[in-house]
Amino acid sequence: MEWDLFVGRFHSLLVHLPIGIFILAYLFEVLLQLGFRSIIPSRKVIIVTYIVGLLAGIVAAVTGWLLSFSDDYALEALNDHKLLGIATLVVMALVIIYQAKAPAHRNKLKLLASTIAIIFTGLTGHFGGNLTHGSTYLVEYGPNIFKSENGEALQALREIHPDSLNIYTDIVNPLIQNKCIACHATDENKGGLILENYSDLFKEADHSQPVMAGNPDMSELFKRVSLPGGHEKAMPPRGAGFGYTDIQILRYWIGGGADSLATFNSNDMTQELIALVLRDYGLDYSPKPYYEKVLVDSLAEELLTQLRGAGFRVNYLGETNLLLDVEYRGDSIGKDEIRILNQVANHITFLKISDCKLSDDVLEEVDDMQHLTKVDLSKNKLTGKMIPFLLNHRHLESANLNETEIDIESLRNLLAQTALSRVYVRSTKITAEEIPTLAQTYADVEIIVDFKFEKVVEAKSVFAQKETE
Amino acid sequence: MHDHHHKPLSRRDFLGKSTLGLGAISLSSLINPFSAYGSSIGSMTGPHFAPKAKRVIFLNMIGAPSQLDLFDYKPILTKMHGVELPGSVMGGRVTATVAAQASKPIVRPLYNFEQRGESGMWMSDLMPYMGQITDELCMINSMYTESVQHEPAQMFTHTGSEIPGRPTMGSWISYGLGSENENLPNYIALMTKGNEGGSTRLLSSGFLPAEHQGVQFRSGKDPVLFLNNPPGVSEEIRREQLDYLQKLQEKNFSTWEDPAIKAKMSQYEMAFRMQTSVPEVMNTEGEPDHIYELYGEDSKKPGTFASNCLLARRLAERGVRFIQLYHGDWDHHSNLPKLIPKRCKEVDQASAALIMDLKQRGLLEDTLVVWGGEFGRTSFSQGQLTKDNFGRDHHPDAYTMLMAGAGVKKGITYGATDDFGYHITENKVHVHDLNATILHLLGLDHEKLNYKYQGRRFRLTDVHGLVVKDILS
Repeated sequence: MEWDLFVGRFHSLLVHLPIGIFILAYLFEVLLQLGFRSIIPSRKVIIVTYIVGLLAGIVAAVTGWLLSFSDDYALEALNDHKLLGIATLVVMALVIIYQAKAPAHRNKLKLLASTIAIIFTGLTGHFGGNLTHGSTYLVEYGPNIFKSENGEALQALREIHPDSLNIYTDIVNPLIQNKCIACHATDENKGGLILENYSDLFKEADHSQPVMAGNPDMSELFKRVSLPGGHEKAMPPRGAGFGYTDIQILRYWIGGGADSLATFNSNDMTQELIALVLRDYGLDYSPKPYYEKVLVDSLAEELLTQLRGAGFRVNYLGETNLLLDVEYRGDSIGKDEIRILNQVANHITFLKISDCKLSDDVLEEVDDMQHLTKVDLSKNKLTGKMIPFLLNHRHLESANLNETEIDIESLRNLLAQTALSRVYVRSTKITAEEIPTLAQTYADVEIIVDFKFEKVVEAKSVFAQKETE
Repeated sequence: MHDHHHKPLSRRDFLGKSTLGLGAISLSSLINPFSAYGSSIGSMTGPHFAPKAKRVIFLNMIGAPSQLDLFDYKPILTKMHGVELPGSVMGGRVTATVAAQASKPIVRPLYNFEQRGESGMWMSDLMPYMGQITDELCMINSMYTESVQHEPAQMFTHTGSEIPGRPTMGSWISYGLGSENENLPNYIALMTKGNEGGSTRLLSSGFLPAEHQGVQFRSGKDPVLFLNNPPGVSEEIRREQLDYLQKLQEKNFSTWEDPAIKAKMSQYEMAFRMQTSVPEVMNTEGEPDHIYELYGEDSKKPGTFASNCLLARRLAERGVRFIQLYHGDWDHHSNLPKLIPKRCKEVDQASAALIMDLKQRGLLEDTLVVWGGEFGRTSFSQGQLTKDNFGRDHHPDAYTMLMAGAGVKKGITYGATDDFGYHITENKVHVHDLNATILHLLGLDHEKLNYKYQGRRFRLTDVHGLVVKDILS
């Protein structure tokens, strides 16, 4: 049996008594001021009420002090409440003295003193409530204006581009700062645990190491925050716990090595996690091609008109996707056309310059296009000299080099350095026999050449088969 | 009847908007300069979001091929060949045509099935060429539709409604995306000569402007009817005639400002350009021998399905948005063992060749190929099951469609049916879902692609349709 905590827990019960009495006394004060002498014949009634309240307050404070020894409360918020509680009692004592000693005509000042005391009482009560129920408890179901702080944090995440979001800095650390640091900082390291810095996550605490990189189920931090709310070891012990999404993010982050630079990667996120992160943080990690993730500014309409005038077909990818799909329609392209094309180089993601006498020299004039994902240069007399152009585009997925004069050496050179997924090289200087070995070496790239069916033997129906048997 | 629907303001629009005063009209046109015309003019400006596919080639197998003999492998049918199909399997669902048939014996698939390619996709020996390219295919075994009769079911696949009158998918796509080649129609149909299967009703633009209607290209000297100049009219005379007409129409337009006048003129001009572009695209003489070999012997004979597949590739190369191929006579109520091998021989190699030819040219990057009929066929025999003969009846509750190309997962088999191929057990795909998915691949939101007609907005998918996200790559 722990006497201190047993008595301490009566704090929540007893604390309402002084509050009620103080409010009653304040009501008397107001009535007196308004001149209801028949109800409140003398100020002594008020003073006596205050004194009874003060005594009840002292009892509440003592039980509260006993309760504060439990590990159940966040330190910072607890201190606020404790100090305010003591201050309230001191203020109340001063008010009582002032009310008793000051001359009778100082009614206005006495009301002011009472008002100050009642404000202290209210604030202390509010902080105490937050301590028990969490700071969002009061306005959780209120109109949105009360919740702006939380909303802003969410909004801030929405503005981050999914690719540049850092899981630790943007999600995990803010969570820890918000939910854990009150009890697990240098001055109040409960359980020997400090969670102030990234490196603290890997320091042995009393029980075990908070984070074991790569192993969420062995990580004390993960274990404790994922316990059901009522469990005696669940963390945080008071206030709103980690949300389901945050727990899943924590699992993903620790599971992936708990790197301070880790980002989300569509390829190893579960469908569920993708959906959760989209729902709660507005971050879309559904697997998407590069050109659907990039955001570019709109272009001046006259640039597009100019391009069209020069013989290009130009389309935006979508109503809000302002990357360009550009195709040259003429039968001969020269440096003049390229100069016009270069004006929109950083908007182009699909480029087709096919069958229009594009030469190595002219291709050299084409500026780098940072968002280029698909290029079709087929049916032009291009040689291995185009390889540097292709290598300059790190997001390039597919290159159509059909009916160009690329040779096996250049292709090998390209494949050795590129991140391409598909390359088309039919009717080039590369022969069909050369492909299989190359395809084996660069298994990640699909090398597409002329297709031929295998010989087909005419199949027989089961009825015909039975007959021959 | 005069066509009121393509005017800058239709009568309905005018009455509707002028109830708030004419100011409302000017305000609405200030906010969105196009909205004063309703959505009822010309076409939209492009896709809603980044498209995976720019064009579609739809290989229509009219009459409904038997999915149980070609794609959806059910070994139990072989084990229970000749046994009465249990009523518990049917669950009270029997189509009207065979309701009176006393006996419903199970029929095994006619040819052996094998798992093919790295994907291990099941395919029958009837499709030896498609069987070689399974790693490019997405097989949906869980399609279902509404009607049990051919015409309404075809109409439903094409328009999302069993009743004729709505725009067909190609028209919607042409309306939604516009043209990439001003010398050819946006929506072209090719039908197998002598076995057309489809009818021009399946090419209707319904209430959409007529420029979005499908144009049938025929084999032979005159691919597009009435396109060439009549005897005695030279190209120069035709040009002169059009120029005069143009002047007259300009005058007309300045008085009436009816955009239909402009549309009509642009169609005249396109027809003129088509006098050159159509013979160019239809002439396959320049194709090398190995391409003919790829598509098969038939591809040298104009009007065959194989020849049409080759043409489809040529049209796709030229940026035509929607290319429909029709091949009929898949309706094997009886004599299936004799008929289905013939049909397969006509389409198998050419279909596979088209997909691979598109692929080797890089066109499969942004072309979607769809293969299938209007519904499926029953796992029991229609009519008597004899030693070497049987038929299968219509079955709208479960059938197979194939897809390949832009934005679709490769080498996957999606959805499943019960052991008897009678009901769908997993991942149902309704025709509306398929159509929504096709539009999605083209960058079109099927809920946004609508057209106001007779006071309500119409869609290809009516008020249904869910994009089948699972098959998107």
